[in-house]
Parts: sequence; structure tokens; C-alpha cells
Amino acid sequence: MQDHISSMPALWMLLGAALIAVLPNRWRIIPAIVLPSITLWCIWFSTGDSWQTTVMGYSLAPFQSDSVRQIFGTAFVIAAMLSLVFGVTIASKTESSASMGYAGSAIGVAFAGDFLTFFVFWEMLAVFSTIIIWDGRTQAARAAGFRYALLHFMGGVVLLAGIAGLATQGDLIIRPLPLESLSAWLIFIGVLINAGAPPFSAWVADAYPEATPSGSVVLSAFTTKSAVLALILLFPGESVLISIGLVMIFYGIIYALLENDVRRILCYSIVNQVGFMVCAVGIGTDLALNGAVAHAFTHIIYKALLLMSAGAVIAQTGLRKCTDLGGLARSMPLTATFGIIGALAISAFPFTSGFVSKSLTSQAAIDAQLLAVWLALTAASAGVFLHAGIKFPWFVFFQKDSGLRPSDPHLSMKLAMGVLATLCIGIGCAPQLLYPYLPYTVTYVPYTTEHLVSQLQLLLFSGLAFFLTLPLMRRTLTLTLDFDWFYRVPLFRLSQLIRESVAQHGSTFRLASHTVIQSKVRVYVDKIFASVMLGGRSHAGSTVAIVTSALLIIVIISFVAFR
Amino acid sequence: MLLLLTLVSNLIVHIHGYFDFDGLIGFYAAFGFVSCLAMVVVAKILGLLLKKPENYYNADE
Repeated sequence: MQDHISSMPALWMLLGAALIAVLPNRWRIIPAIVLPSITLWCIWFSTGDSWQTTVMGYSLAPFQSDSVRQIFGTAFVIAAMLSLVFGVTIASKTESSASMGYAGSAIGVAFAGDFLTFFVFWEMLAVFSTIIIWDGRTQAARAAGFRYALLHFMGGVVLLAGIAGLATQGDLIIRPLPLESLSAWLIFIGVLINAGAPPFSAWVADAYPEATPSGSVVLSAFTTKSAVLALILLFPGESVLISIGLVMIFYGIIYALLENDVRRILCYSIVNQVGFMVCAVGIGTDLALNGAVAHAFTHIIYKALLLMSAGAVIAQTGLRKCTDLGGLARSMPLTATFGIIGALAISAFPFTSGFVSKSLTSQAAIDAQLLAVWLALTAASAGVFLHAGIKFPWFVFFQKDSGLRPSDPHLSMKLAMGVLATLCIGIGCAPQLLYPYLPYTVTYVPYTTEHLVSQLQLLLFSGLAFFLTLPLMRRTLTLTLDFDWFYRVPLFRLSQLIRESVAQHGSTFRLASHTVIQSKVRVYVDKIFASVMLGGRSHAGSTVAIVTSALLIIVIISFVAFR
Repeated sequence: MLLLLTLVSNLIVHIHGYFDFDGLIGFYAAFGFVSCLAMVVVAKILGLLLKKPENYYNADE
């Protein structure tokens, strides 16, 4: 038993979270480096194969390892360690500790062999990430954190309903589930909510940019990618994922093109990139699954790098909008260089990590003779260069001279970015560093003259299109409506209506809330939910009633369905 | 922009293709260019419908 516990990587990270919380602030760098290292060792060299136990008649496997899980686990560890190093001078103790716990939960999800363990860590992901968002400590962060938490707990309830259904039918072991039963669909939907799939894509760009500069870096790595891993383990080759992935890809591009906030651009591009992975899982061949895994690994690295360079700019200037920034390359040359390396990697430029990972998925589409999918993916690759590859560095580091002269950030930030940039280029130049660890044998050769020429053509002419259409892309001080409008406006109004009618006709209701304690609770709930839906409007207390009853209905339905 | 020149010279050298039409000279260049234009235009049109002032959700405060 003890052997098993000490060989469970997630627990080491959670220990780290506890240590950071108790140790004095100046020592937190020690657990931030030591414990992820131990975790990494566990992931690759742990002797206890898989840990089997039986609880309430269900056989559980809290630690189950294979090559897919190992790669995701490794990426999670790298992201955790470097984002803690990045944030060492700016992150609060709460944020650092929650980041470690968040990474630990993601690793727990990654190595969960049964649905019970999976669900526990899945919910912990939501808790820790909400804490990180709240640590942005602005009114906007509070409100966005609540919206984020509500959506993810709702997703959690859907997932739990699915798991409960599964438990009535058999065991809880994690393995590919055919989408034939209601419970499989509920699990599918619960996982997709965390992946940022439509219609619930808005939460990524709504919540992540409200965290601190270092908080956003941490947030970018875990929730969506652990959902991708879950899709790989549970729903490989489910063809509906191809369409879902394609919608995510183009949603991400279009919304990023419209966006003015630097970190939101990068968050929309998370949805876009996860779309590539979801699409690859949908194609489901060996090559495609290799593509999804490799892409997730490289994506975690270059996305962290991009958000770090954006975070460094925000930390140094206090500004976050394209309209306020520009011309920073002169005074922040290192940050600009790292940002550009990240931008090239996400665009799959030759000799960067994106080139050797994304092309696996494209090739898989070709091999599966999915012409339309391949065309869409190719157009999307061009679009990635458009919205993330050029737009981000152009508007932040070049464009006009904003008159700002911030210097490069603290050494710890430069160090973290430097390591990630090295990984981006290292993997790009030497794909043999990554390919042997993929779940299936790789015969694909990324560096052929044809591939180089075609990719360069694609990207450079996208670049041409960008500069030609610059007048069309003038930055405006706007936000873009998204699906979250439905729960921020109509649902809010509905809650107000209910509240008013309760106030008018509800003497019986009032009797129920007569005691002092209850009215105190009521005031508290009111205060919280006033900020939830609209960030500041008061009297939104009964929104909670709507959300809770929605959850209740889901649970009741699931009980009726599985009785 | 100068890179475009090197690209054009590359076009003549290599011919490649997996499907029928993607071996055509300059296919990737044209496809990338056109699809980017399309995406920008679609974004622009959607922007007209969906863009709201930044304080849209907090307008009543």
C-alpha cells in the first residue's frame, strides 16, 4: 500500500502544493522544483506497475500507466515546474500553491485507471483552477471565476451522472466506450465541456485572461489537455469528434481575429489548437492518435511560452490590449524573441515543434482519404499563422510605436521562457526526441523537401494575406458576443423575474427564510451571485436557484434513467 | 515580403501531391492565401453582428 502511494505521481504534486502553502514564500522555489522532479521520476521509473484495489465491490486502479499517459504527465510536469519558476516573483502564495495542486490534479486524471479516481481529480481541477482565476483579485476575475466554476461543476455533474449510469451496468475501468448508451454520452459531454467544445467554448477566453500574468500560464496547460487525454482514452475514433474539432478550430481562429485583448487572442487559440487534437482523436487511426498526443505535448510547451511572453509584457506594462501595446521589440528584445519562437511553433513553422507534431494529424487525414477534413485542416493551419503566428507578435512587439519602453522581465521569467523556447526548437529540429515515446510506432518523416516547400508556401502566403488585410483588422475596443451571452443575459433576466415574483407573491417563501441565519446566508448568496452573471449587478441571488435546479433536474433524470 | 521571391523560385523546382490537385504548382500558396482572405472576411462580417462595446455586460452599473 505504501509503495503504491509513494509511486503515485499526483500525490507528490499535491504534497508540493501543501509544502508551498506552509513554507515561507522565499523557499517556495524548492518544492516547486524538487517535487515535480520526483513526480517525473515516478512517471517514467515507477516500479509498482498499476495499483489495483477494490472499493464497494468496484475494482479501482488509481495509478495506471501507459505511453499516452506518460507523455501527457511529462508535459504537465514541465508546464507546472516552469510556470512556477516564471511566477516566482509575481505569483501570490495562494496562486503558487493552487498551481501545484492544479497540476497534481491533472496528473491524477492522466493516470487514473478507473472512473472514480478520474472524477475526484477532475473536480479538483475545477476547484484549483477557480482559485487561480480568483487570485487575479479584480471584480472581473471574481465574476469570471464564478461563471467558470458554475460551468465546470455543471460539467462535473453531467460526467458524474454518466459515471453513475456506467456503474449500474458494470465496472468502472477506464477503456474505450462506444457511444451507444446514455451514460457514455453523458461522459462524452462532460469531457467535452472541459475541452472547450462548442457551444461551451466561451469559458476559456472568458476566465483564463482574468488571472494574473503567471496564473494564465498555469491555466493554459491542464484542463483542456486532460480532456483531450480523456477523449483519447475513452472515445478514440469516434467520428463525431472530427466535426466538433473542426468547429473548434474555426471558432478559435475567427474569434481570435476579432479580439483585442492579448491573452484572449491566445486563449481562443487554445480552443483552436485543442480542436486539432479533438479532430485527430476523431480520425482515430494510429497515426492520428500519435498526432493528437504529440500535438498536445508540443502545444502545452509553446502555448505556455506564448502566454509567458504575453504575461511578461502585461507584468511590465500593466496593459493587456493590442490597442495600447505595440513597438515593444526594441525595449523587450528577449521577450519578443521568445514570443516569436512560440508564435512560429504554434504556426508549425519548419524547425519548430509544431511542424513535427501537427503534420502527423494532416498526414493521418490524407492516409484516411478524408479530403474535406484535410483541406479544412490545411486552411486552418494557415489561419493559425494568421491569428496567433503573426497577429500576436505583430500587434504587441511591432505595429506602431506605443511609446512604452518597458525592460525585459526578471531573470526567473527569462529563464522559464528560455527553457521552453529551447524545447520548441529542440523538438522541431530533432523529432526523434519525441517520436519514440508516442503510443504507436512512427514511420512518418516530417522533413522532406516537399513538406518544407508546401508548408512554407502556405505560411508565407498567409502572412501576405495578413498584411494585405490589415486595414480590415483594425483593433477596436470591443468584446465579441459568444454563447456565454445566453447565461449572462437571458438567464440573468429570468432569475430577476423569478426573484421579483417571489418577492411579490411569496409570503410562504418568506416564512421559510425567516430565521436570522437563513437571511444571513441569503445576503451572502446574494452578494456572491450578484457578481456571477454580470459582474456587478445586484440582486441576482435567484440565479443560483436556476443553476441549482438545472443541476437537480440532470441528476433526477439520470437516476430515473438508470434505475 | 522578400521571402515570397524565394518561394516563387521554389515552386518551379518541386512538384508533389497526395490528391489530384494539390500537386499543382503554387497550390499551397494559393490555398493559404485564399483561405486566409476568406477567414478575415468571415470574421469581419461576424464582427459586425457580434462585436459589442467593452462594457456591454456591465452597462447597468
